[in-house]
Amino acid sequence: MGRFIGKSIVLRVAALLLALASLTSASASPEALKRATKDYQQANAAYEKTDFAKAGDLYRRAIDEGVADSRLYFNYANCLFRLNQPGMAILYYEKARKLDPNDEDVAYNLRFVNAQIIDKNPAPESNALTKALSFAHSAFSINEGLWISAGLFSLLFLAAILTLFAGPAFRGALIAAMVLAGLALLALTPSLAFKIKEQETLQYGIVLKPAAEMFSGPGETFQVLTQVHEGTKFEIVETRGDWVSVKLANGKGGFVRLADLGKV
Amino acid sequence: MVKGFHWICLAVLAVCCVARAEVAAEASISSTQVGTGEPFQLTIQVTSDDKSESLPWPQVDGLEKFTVAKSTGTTQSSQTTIMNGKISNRNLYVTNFIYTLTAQKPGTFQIGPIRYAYKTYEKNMGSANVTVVKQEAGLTSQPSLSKKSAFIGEQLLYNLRIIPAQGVQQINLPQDLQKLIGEKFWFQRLDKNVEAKVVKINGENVRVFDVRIVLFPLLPGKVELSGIPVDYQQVSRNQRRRTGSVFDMFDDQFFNGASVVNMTAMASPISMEVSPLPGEAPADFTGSVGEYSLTANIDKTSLASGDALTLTVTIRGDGEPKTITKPKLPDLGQFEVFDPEVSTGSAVQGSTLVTTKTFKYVVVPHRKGDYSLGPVAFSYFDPAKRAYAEAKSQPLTISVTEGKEISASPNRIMSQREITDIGSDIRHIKGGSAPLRSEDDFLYKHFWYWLLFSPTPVAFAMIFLVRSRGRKLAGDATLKRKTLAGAQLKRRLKEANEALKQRNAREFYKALSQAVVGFASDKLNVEFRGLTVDDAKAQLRKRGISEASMTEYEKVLQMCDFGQFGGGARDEKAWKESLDAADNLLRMLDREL
Repeated sequence: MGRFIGKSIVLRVAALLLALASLTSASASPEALKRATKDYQQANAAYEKTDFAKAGDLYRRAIDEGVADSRLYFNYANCLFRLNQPGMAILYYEKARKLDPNDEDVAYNLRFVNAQIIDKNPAPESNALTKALSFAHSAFSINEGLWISAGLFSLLFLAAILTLFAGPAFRGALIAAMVLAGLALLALTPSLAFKIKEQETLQYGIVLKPAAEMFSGPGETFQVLTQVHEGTKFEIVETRGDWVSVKLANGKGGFVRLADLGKV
Repeated sequence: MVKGFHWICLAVLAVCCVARAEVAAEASISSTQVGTGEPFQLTIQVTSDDKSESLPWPQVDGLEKFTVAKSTGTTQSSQTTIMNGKISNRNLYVTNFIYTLTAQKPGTFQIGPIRYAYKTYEKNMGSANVTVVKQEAGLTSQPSLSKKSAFIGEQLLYNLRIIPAQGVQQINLPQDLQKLIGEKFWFQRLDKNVEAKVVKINGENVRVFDVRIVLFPLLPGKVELSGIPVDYQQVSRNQRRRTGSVFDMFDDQFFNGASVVNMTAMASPISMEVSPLPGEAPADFTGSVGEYSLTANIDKTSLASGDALTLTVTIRGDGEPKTITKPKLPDLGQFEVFDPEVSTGSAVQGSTLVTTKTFKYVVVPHRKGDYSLGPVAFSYFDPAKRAYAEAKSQPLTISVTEGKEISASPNRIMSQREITDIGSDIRHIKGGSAPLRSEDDFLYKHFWYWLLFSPTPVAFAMIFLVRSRGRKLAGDATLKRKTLAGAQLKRRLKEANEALKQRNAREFYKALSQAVVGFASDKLNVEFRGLTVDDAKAQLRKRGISEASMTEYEKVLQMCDFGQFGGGARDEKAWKESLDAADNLLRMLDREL
C-alpha cells in the first residue's frame, strides 16, 4: 500500500515539475537584447538633449524587441510624461514597478503623475499592521524572493547534514541555524506565493483616453455608471470581447471598453 | 405694556389623555398684548411616551410677522394607574416646543391655527390674537461704515452707536460675533470696554456708546453686513398696561409699580462693495493692503568676520495683521543669515488698528571688507494710490575687519534652516551603460530552478540512511554476517575465477567449495564447515530449504571434493560446468534463505 502511495507522490511531483517547465517564457533573444540596449542608450542621449519625441520612438523600438527591463519602462514613462501623455506614462511606471517594486524613483514619479490626473482613486485605508506587511511584501522582487528561498532551503538541509556529524559543541548552533532558516522560509513563502499568484492571475489596466465611460454591463446599451479619466488605475476582473470588467481601488466596478485601457 | 409673565390659555386647550391615548398636546402663550421689540413666548406642550428626539415640531401658522427663535425642553414623569384592581406604571415625557416671538411692527396678528400631529394623533389647538402696540424703543442702534467700497484686505471701521433712553440697563452685544461677521470679514473689536460719551445730536447732548469694530473684507463683490442684535433690559415705571390679570396687583406690590422687560434692538444691515486687487501682484506680495512703513537697523556697524550682528527690521501698517510676512532682504552673499526671531504687536491709533511686526536676524559676515547693503523691502497694496508699492529701508553700511575663522567662532549661532522645495518635477531618467535584460524571465518558470532544491535533501537522506544502517549492523553480528554474505561470496568466487585463469584445478574447486559452504554458513549463521553432508542437509531442511536445492548442494560439494582430492575433470569445459552448477545453487539458496 505504502509503495503505491509513494508512486503517486512521485508522479505528482513529476507532473508539477513538468508543468513548471512548460511555463518557461520565451524571453528576448540575446540579439534582441543587444539591439534594444543600443536603442535604449540612444534614446537616453536624445532625452538628455530634451528631444523627447525622438527618445520616445527609440524607447518604443526597444520595447518592441520584447525586452522587459524596469529601467527601459521607467525612462519611457518619463518621456511620455514630457510628451504630455500622463495615462501612458502611468501605464509604463506601473510596468516598471511590477518588475522592480523597490525602485524609489519609480514610486516617486508614479506619485507625482498620479497627483496630476483628474480622478483621485485612493486605495482603502490601511492600519499599521497592513502597512508593515505591505512594506515587507514589497521589499523584494519575485526573482529575489526565489533566490532567497532556494538559499534558505539549501542552508536548512546543509545544517541538517552537518548536525549528523557535528559534536555537541556545534550541534546547538547548527540546530539554531536550521530553526532560523526554517522560520525565514515559512515567513517568506506566503508572500512569494501571493506575488506569483498576482503575477499569473491579477492584471491591472490604466485608462489611456482623456475620458472613458464605465457601464453597468458589457455594452453601450447598459447604464452609464460614471466617467473615468486618463491615468485612472483599475483591476481587470475579466475580459469579454471588446469589454473589460474592472474594479476600482475603492471597490466600485463596472465595464469599460477594452480600447480605452492599457494593460499593465 | 404688558409686564410680568402671564400665562393665558388659548381658546381651546387640550382635554388631556383619553384613556388609551399615548399623546396629548396643549398650547399656551405668555402674553397677548406686547409692545414692538418685546419678546413673548408661545409654548406647545406635548405629553407622550416618546422622547423629544422622535417628536415632530407643531405646525403654527401666522408667524411670518414675527422674529422667531425656537427651543425645546423635556421633562420625564411616571404615571401609575389602577384599573380593575390592576396596577400599571408608565413613563411619560413632557416636551415643550417654545417659540420666542418678537414683533417689529404694531397691529393685531393671529397666531394659528396651531396643529399637532404625531403617528395617529392629530389635534387642532385653535388660534390666538396678539395685539402689538407701538412702543418707543428704549434703545436705538445706528450702524455706520467708514467706507462703502473697499479693496479686499483693506481696513474699514464699523461703528455701532447705541443710544439708550431712560430706563435702559444691561446692554449686551451678542457673544458670537464670528457667526454674524466672520464669514465675510476678518474683524477685531477696537475697544475692550465701551465707555459712554456725550455727543450732540440735533443740538442736544446725548449719552451714547460707540462699539467700534475694524473689518478686513475677505471676498470680492457686494457684501452685506448683517444687523447686529443688541439685547437690553427696559425698566418702566407708571406706564404699565393693565392686562386685567389677577397678578397685576402683585406686580405693583412687589416692584413698586416698575417692570423689567428684556428687549432686543436690531441694527439694520449695511451693504458695501468689495473690489479685488487690480493687476499682477509682485512675486513677494503676501496680501497686505493698506499703508505700510519699514525700518531696518543693525546693532553694530563695525565688527570682525565671524562675529554676529543683529539686523532688526520693523514693518508697520494698517492692513490685516497676519498678512505681514518676512521682508525681502538685500543680497547678503558674504554673510550667513539665520532665521529671524519674530514678534508682533497691535495698537489702536484713533480709529485705526495698526500692526507692528519685528524681525530680528542674526547675521555673520564671512570676510573682511566694507559693505553697503541695499534696502530691505516689503511689498503691499496701497488702496489710496490703487497700486502696489514697496516699503523700503535706508541702505546699511557695515565694516568688517579680519576676524576668526567662521567655524571656530564661538558667537556662531547654530540654528539651521529647513531645506524647502521651490519647485517639483519627476525624477530624471536612469542612465548607465549596463545592457538591458529581460526582467520578466521569472525563475519559477525554469525547471532548473526547482532542481536546485533537490541536492541537499537527497544528500541528507542518503547520509542519514547509510549512517542508520551502519549503526544497526554494528550492534547485530548475525545480521551483519547475513548482510555481508553476498560480499563474501563475491570475494570467494573471484578467488575461484583466479584459480580458473591459472588452470589450478585444486585451488579452483577449493575456492568454489568455500564459496558455497561459506554462503550457506553466513546466511544461516551456522558453521557448515566440518559438517558431514547429511548434517548439513539436516540444517538446511530445518530452515525450510527445498529438496531440489539440497540435492544440488550435495551434488556441488561432491563435485568440489572430487575436483580437489580425486583428480576430477581437468578440462576447461568441465570447470565451467562446475562453476555454472555452483552459480545455480547459490541463486537457489539466495532465493530460499
